[in-house]
Amino acid sequence: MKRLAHRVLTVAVRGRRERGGPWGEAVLAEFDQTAGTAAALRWAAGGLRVVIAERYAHRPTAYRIAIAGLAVLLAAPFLVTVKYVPSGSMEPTMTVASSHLVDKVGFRLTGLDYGDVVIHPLPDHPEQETERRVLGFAGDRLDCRAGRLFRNDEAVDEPYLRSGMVTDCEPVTVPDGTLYTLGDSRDVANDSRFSGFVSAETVTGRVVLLG
Amino acid sequence: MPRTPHTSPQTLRLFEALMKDPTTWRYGYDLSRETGLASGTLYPILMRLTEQSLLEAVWEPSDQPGRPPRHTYRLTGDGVALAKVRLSEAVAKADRRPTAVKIVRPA
Repeated sequence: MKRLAHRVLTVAVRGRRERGGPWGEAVLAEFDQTAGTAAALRWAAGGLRVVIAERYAHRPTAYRIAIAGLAVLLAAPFLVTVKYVPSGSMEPTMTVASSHLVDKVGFRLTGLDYGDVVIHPLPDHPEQETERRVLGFAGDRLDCRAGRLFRNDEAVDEPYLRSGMVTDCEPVTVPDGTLYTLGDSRDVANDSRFSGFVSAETVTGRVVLLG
Repeated sequence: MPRTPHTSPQTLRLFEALMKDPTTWRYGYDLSRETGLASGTLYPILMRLTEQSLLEAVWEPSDQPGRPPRHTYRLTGDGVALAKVRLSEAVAKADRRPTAVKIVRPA
């Protein structure tokens, strides 16, 4: 691992030249001093930043902005996307025919939370990606009493529902590796109450809700 | 108002380490260890300081045979003067801070 890190750093510093820039070479020369794999990897990672700083710091600002803009354009499709909402099952949060920004990577790093609106295929129609709100994680017990949703015997605060909206459901316990998701339009949404639990792996994004 | 150069906490940490004994030549790795700065943070600061002639950088042949020469650093006269100013400014600012915090957020 340490030798691989050294190899990567050497290639980054020198490329095909005999010697790289003085600062890249300086980082490379100190590489031997690192104790342990973790320290060596950190040193090499920082070294890559040094190489970039050394090579590109002297380019004109306009050029650097253009490069940064290009990098954003190339990376954006992998990070975010726009989801068109074809149904009313998330009313009033997401109206029919509206479009919403979807974060495809961030939720994998931060994890999901109760109340997040996620994109996943419907368990009974896998070809159809839909947006639903996460209300139960593995191990949660959910049931409905007098039109309200209860999680582990506590009433769930749901300010995003249309006033007077009634939730009816069968009591369930969420199995490992799955989520319990509902649409905000409880009277029309085909969600975990009917189509079952959602495999957590199939979640492809989290809707960025503004306001 | 333009930002005063060489006032970032990282630069101040480096100044502190270099000012312990301003006449000794220091290795990058030792400076990184002493300041807790990662190489990717430390070296760009060294580069900036060297460009502005606040720091001298010299290749020193390694004491062990077969090892590559190592880059060593020390502050120039200007560098020492600037480091003194910046460090004393930081101390003065830190002294002022507790009262300011008290006003914003009473304990």
